[in-house]
Amino acid sequence: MITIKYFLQKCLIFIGLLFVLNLTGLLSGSEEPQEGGEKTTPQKQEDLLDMSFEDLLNIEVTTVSKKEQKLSEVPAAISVITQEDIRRSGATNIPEALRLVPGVQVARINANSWAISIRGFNGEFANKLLVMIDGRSIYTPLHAGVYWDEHDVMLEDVERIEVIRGPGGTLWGANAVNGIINIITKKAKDTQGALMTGGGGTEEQGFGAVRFGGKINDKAYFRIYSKYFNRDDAPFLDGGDGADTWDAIQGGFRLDWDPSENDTLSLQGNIASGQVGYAGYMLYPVSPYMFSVTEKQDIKVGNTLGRWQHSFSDGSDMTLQLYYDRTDRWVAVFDEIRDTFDIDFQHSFSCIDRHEIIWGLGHRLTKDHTKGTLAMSMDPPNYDLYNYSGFVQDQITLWENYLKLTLGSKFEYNDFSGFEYQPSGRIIWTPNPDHSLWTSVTRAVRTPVRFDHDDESTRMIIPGYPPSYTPIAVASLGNDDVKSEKLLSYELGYRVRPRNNFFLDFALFFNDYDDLRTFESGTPMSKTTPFAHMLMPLIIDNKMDGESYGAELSASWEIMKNWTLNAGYSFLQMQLHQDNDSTDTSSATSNEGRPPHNQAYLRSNLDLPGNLELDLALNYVDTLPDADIPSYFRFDARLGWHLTDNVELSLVGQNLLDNRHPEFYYRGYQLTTEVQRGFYAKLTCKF
Amino acid sequence: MKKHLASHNQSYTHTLRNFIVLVLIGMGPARMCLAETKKKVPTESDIKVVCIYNLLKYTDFCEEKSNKEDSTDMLIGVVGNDPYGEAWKRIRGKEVGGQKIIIKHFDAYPDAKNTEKTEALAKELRKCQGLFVSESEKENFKNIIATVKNESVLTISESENFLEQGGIVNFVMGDKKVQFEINLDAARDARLKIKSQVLKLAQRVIQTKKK
Repeated sequence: MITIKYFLQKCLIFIGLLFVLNLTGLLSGSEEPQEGGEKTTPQKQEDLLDMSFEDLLNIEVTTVSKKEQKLSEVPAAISVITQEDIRRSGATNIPEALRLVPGVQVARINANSWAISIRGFNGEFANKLLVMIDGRSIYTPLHAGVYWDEHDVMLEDVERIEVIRGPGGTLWGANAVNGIINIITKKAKDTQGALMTGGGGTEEQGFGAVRFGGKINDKAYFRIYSKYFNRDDAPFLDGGDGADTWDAIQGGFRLDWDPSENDTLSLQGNIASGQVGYAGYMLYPVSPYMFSVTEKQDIKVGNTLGRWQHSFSDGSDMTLQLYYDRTDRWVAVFDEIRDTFDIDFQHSFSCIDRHEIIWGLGHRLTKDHTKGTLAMSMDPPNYDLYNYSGFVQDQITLWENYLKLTLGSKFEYNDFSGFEYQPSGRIIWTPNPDHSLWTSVTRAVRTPVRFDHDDESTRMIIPGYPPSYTPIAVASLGNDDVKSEKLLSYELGYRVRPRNNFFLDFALFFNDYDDLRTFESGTPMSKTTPFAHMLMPLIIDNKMDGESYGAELSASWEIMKNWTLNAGYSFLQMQLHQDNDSTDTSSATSNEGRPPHNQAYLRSNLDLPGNLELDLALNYVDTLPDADIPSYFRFDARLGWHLTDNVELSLVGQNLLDNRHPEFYYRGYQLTTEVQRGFYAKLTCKF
Repeated sequence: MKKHLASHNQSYTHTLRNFIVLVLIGMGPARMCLAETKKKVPTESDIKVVCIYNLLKYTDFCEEKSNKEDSTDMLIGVVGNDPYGEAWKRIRGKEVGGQKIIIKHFDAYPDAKNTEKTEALAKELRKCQGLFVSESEKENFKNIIATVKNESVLTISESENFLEQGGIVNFVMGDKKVQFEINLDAARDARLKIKSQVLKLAQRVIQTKKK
C-alpha cells in the first residue's frame, strides 16, 4: 500500500539520483564553476567568436531559455502558458487551454461546464482555486467555484496564463488554497491594428472575433473587440442528444495610458451575454417531484477595471486597482444578480539593504439578490458580504544572488468566519542561473461562502412509506457557525536547465488539511411548506481532516530550431478522515476518489517547410474511482498554415482517439454528457 | 472497493519505478543529441556577449584608453543585475587591440543622495571602455550616463528608452534574432568613434547633429 513514508522514500531517491547525476556531469552543462577551471571544449566557444558580426546577428535564438530564466527566481511551483502555447494548442477557451499545465485537473462535465482544480478537491464548483483575469477575481462568492461559462477572453489577446500550484496565501489571500490561475491579457500597445478570426466545425459550430487596436498618441493606446461563438451539445452517457448547447456574444475595450514617466494607467471593460443549455431535473413540490427539463439559461455579465501604477522618486512603487463586476445569472434552479466592488492597494519598497518589502490593503463588497427554487436557495436570499484584507511580505537576500528568504502573511476579516491569517515562509537557493531549489511552508484558508452559511437546497425527494406516505426530502442546510477550511502545505521544488534548450521543473508537496466541509445528519423534522414532507437535514459542518501528497514534473526540450517537445506528469494521493462524531457517510471517500492519481501529457510543436505548423498533443488522465469514470487518452492535432505574414489558417482535430468519452460526472440535477471527437477550421487575418 | 484500490497501488509503484527508469535511460541518448545541438543553438546571452566583443573591436576609444602601454586591460563594467551570467566567460581574457578583456561587476547604482558612494563608483565607471547597464538600473540611467559622459565609455544596455536617455548601444530582439541600435550623437559626446561597418549592421541609428 502506498503510505506517505513509501512515497517520500521514492521521491527522495529520485531527487538524490538527480543530484548524483548532476555531479557526474550527465545533467550539467559544459561549464562547471565549482571545479574552478574551464571544462568547456574550446572548439565550441571559438565558433561564435570567429563568426562575422553579420552572421552573429542572423542566428535565431531559443525562446525556452528566456522564459525559464524568469521562472527560476520564483520560490513556488509556477508554470506559464504563453500566447504561442495557446495558439498552437487549438484551445478555443480558457478551460481547454489549462490542459497545458501539469498538475491541473481539467475535466469537461458537459459542453458548457468544466471541473477544474489543482491538487484535488475537483468538482463543478471546485472551491480551492483562485482564478483571476488581469487581477480581477472570477470565483463566485456564492459557492467559491468558477462559472467558466461567464468568463471568456479573446485568446488571441492573452499575453500569458500564470499557474501556481499550491497555496499563494500571502499575496493572493483566501481561496488560493490549492492554486492560483492568473490570466493576463496583452497591453493595448501590443494589440495594434485589426485582427479578425472566424471558423467553424462539428463541435465548435461557429465562432468569430474582431479586434481593432489604435493609438491616441505616443503615450496612450487602446483596443476594442467583439467575439461570438456557438457550441454544439454533447451526447448523454446513453448516446442521446444532450441539450447543453452554448452560445455567447461579448465585447470590450482596453485603454493604456502613460501620463508621465512614473505613471501607468489602465482601464478595461467587458460585457457579455450568453445562453447556456440545461438538461436535467427540476424539483417541484408535487409528486413525482423530479421532472425532466430542458431549458435555455441566460447569463449576462459586465465588468470594468482600472489600475494606476506609480513609481516614486525613492525607487518604491505603488499600485491602486479598482473594479466593478456585475453578473445576472438566470439558470434553471437558481437566479442570482451579483454586484462586486473591489479596491486594492499595494506598495513595494526596498530602503533597507537586502530587503524587498511589499505590503497592501484591500476591500471587497459583494452584494447578491437571489431567487431560489426547491432545488437550491439561499436564506437570506439577499446578502451583502464584506471582506477586508491586508498583507505584508519581505523578500530577504540572505546571500547575494544565491539565497533568498521570503516571509509574509495575509490577514483577512470577513462576515462569516471573522479574522483569518495566512503566513508563509519560502526559501529559494540559486547556486547558478541554471539551477534553483526552493522550499516553502504555507498556511492557507478557504473562507466560508454563502453556500456554507445560508444554503437551503433539497438534494432529493423520495416517496414516503406506509401508512402516511409522507414524502421525505433530504436537504443540505447552511450553518451560521461554519468555519473556514484550513491547509498547512509543505512544498519542495527543483528547476534545472542542464542545456540551453532543455528545461526541467519538479515540485513535491505534502498538504495537511483541517476543518474540511462535511454534511452532518440533523434531526429530522416534519414540515408543511411548500408541501407536506419529512425533512432530513444535512447540516454543513467542518468535521473532516486529512492529508494529500504528490509531485509534478514537467520538461521542455527544444530538440531543433523547428521542433519543441513538452512533457509533464503529475501524481496525487489523498487520505481523508472524518471526525469520530461525524455522521457524514460519503465526503471522505468521495473526495479521495475524485482526483485522478496520475496525469500525463506529451506535446510536440513542429515547424514544417512551407510555413506549416504541425502540433500534436497526447493527454492521459487516470480513472476517477469515486465516479467510475475510466481512464482515457486524448489526442489532439493541429495543422497551421501561414499563407502570408498576416493570414493564418488552422485545421484542428480534438479527441481524435475516441468517438466520445466521459471526463466527469454531475452531482447536481444536471445530466452529464460526454466529450466528443470534433474538428474545426479557423482563419485569422491581421491588418 | 478496497480490493480495487490495492491492485491500483501495485500499478502506481510500477508506474513510478518505470517512470524513474525511463527518465534515466532517456537521459543517455538524449545527452548525445543535446551535445550536438548545443553547438548549433547558442543562447541570447551568448550572442549578446559576443556582440559586445565585436562592438569593442570596431570602436575607437580615446588615446589614454586605447594605448596598450598605458593600459593592458579592455575593461567591461557591469552595473546592476547581470543577465548574462556564465556567458561572459566566452570573451573573458580575449584580446581587443592588444588589450585583454576583463569583466568587472558593480553593485546597483547607489542612492543619489549618498554622494560619497556615487563619487567612488563614478571613478571606477570612468575607467571602463565598455559599460553594460542592467535594466534593473533603469531609474538611474540618466545619472549613470551623466557620470561617464565625455569619458570615452561605450554604454550598452537592453532596455526600452536607453538610447533616448543618452545611452550609446541598445540590444533589441528582432524576429528571434539579436539586433542592436546606436545613438551616434551620444557616441560623439563620449569621444568615441564607431566604425561604419558596424553602423551598417545596426537596426536603427540616431543621429541628429551634423558632423
